[in-house]
Amino acid sequence: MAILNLEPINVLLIEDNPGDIRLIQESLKENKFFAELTVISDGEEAINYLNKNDDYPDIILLDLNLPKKDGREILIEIKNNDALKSIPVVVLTSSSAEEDISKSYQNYANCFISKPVDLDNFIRVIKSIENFWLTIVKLPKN
Amino acid sequence: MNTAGSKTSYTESDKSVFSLLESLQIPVIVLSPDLDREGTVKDFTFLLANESAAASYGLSLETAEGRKFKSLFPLKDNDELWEAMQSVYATGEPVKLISENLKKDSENLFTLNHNIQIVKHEGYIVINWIAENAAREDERMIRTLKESNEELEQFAYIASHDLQEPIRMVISFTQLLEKRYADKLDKDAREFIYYAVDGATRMKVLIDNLLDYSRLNTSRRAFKNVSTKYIVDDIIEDFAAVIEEKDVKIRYGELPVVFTDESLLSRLFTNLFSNAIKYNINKTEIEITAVKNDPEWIFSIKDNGIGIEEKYFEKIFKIFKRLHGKTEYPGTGMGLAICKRIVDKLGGRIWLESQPGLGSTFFFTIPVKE
Repeated sequence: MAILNLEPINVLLIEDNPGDIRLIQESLKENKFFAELTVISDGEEAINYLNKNDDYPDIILLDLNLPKKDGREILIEIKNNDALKSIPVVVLTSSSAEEDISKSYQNYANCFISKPVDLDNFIRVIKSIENFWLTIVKLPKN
Repeated sequence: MNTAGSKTSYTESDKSVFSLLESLQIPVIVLSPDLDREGTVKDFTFLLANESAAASYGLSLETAEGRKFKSLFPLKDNDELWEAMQSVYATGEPVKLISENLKKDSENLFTLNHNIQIVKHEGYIVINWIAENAAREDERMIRTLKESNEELEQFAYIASHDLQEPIRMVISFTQLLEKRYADKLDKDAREFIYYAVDGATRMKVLIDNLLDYSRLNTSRRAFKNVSTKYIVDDIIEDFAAVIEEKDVKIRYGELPVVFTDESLLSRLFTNLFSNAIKYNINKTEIEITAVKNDPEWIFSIKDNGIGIEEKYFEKIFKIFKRLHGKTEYPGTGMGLAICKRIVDKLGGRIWLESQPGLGSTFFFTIPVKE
C-alpha cells in the first residue's frame, strides 16, 4: 500500500522523550512505511520550525508534555494560525486524563491517542495512524 | 432555667453551673431564643453573663439578665454575628467568629476586637470568648492542612501521571528486545524478560489505580437522576464473557432511580461486582437489591464467594490492603479503597456482612434527594 506512494510523506514528530522517539522510529521500521520523519523535541523550537519552513509536514504527531512550550500550547498556536491550521495534528501522549482528551478536541486536535504500553499495540497504533492519515484520508496539497 | 422573666427561680444544679461559669476567666454569655409563632428567632434574652463577660462588655450582672440582646447590641439583619447566632440555633453546628475577618459593615460592639465561639446547648445559645492567639492558630492550622492536602493530591496526580512514561519505556523496550533477538535468546532469557515485563505491567496497573484514586478527589461531580437498573444492565453486558465462562447467575429485583454522579456510581457497582466474581470458587451467584430506608437508599450486592473474616472488615477498605497472594487472586488492593472513597464522595456509607466460606454481602447507601 505504502510502497505505491512515490513521494515520501513528511511526518513532524514533536516529542522530547528519546525512548519514545526511538519507539516510533522502530515502529515505522516494522511497518516498512515510506515516511520522512522530522523530530523536534522542544515546544518553542517546533513553533519556530513551522513558522520558518514553507514546506509544511503532511501530518504532525504531537506529545503533550514538552519542555518550554508544552503540547497543549503548541496545539492552540497551530490551530489559530491560518497557514498551519489545516495540517492534521495527532495528539500522541502517555496521558489518558479526561481533561487532556476533551481539551485537545476543544482546541481542534484531529485526533487524540494514548500511547499503548504494550509494544505490539504501540506498533499497531503507529501503523493505524499511518494507514488512516497517510493512505486512507485525502490531505490538502501544500 | 426559666426564661419567662428576669426574676427566675433556679435549681441547685443550675446554681452550681452558674458558679462554675462565674469562676471562669473567659467571658461567657448564655442566651435564650425568643421565637415568634412560626418558630423564627426574633431576638435573644440574656440568661446569664459571667463576671468576666460583664467586665468586658460593660454590663452589670443585674442589668443584663432578662434584657434583649438586640437592645444592648443593636444589629443589622445581615450582620454576621446575627446570622451566625441564627445558624447555630438552627443547625446546632458551632461557629467561630474572628473579629478581624468580619466584614467592616458588620462591626458591632459585641464582636469588635472580640473573637468568639457560639455553641448551642440544650436549646440555649452559649457565647464564649476565644483567645486571639488560639483563634488565629486554629485558622492557620486549617489553612495549612487544606494547602498540604491539596499539594498531596496534586503530587499523587502528577507522580502517577509522570510515572507512566518510564514504565512504558521499560515494557516496550524489553518487548522489543525479545522481538528483535528472539532467535538468539534461550529459555532462561525469555523467562527473565517475562518477569521484567510482568513486573512493569503490574506497576503500570498500580499507578493507573493510584491515578484513578487521586482523580476521585480532583474531578468535579455531576449529579443527576441516574437509573441504577441501567447501570447494572451495562455492567452485566461488560462482564458478558466472564459471566458466560464461569456460568455466573445474577438476580436483581427492582432498582431505583437515584440522584447522584453516574460515572462514580457505575465504578462502585463495577468494583463490587467484579470482586463478587473474582473471589469465588463456587458456581457464582450474585444478588443485587435496593431498599429505601429514608433518608437513603441501601443497596446490597450479595455473593456466595470465599467470604472475609470479621477482623478484616475495616482493613479491606484501606489503600493497598490485600488479603491474598497475587497468584491466588490478582489485584492491587485498590478496588475497595476506591469504593470507599466513591461512597464518601456521594454522601453515603459502605460496609459488609460476611462469613468465610459462605459469601459476602456489601452494602452501601445513597442519599435520597430531598
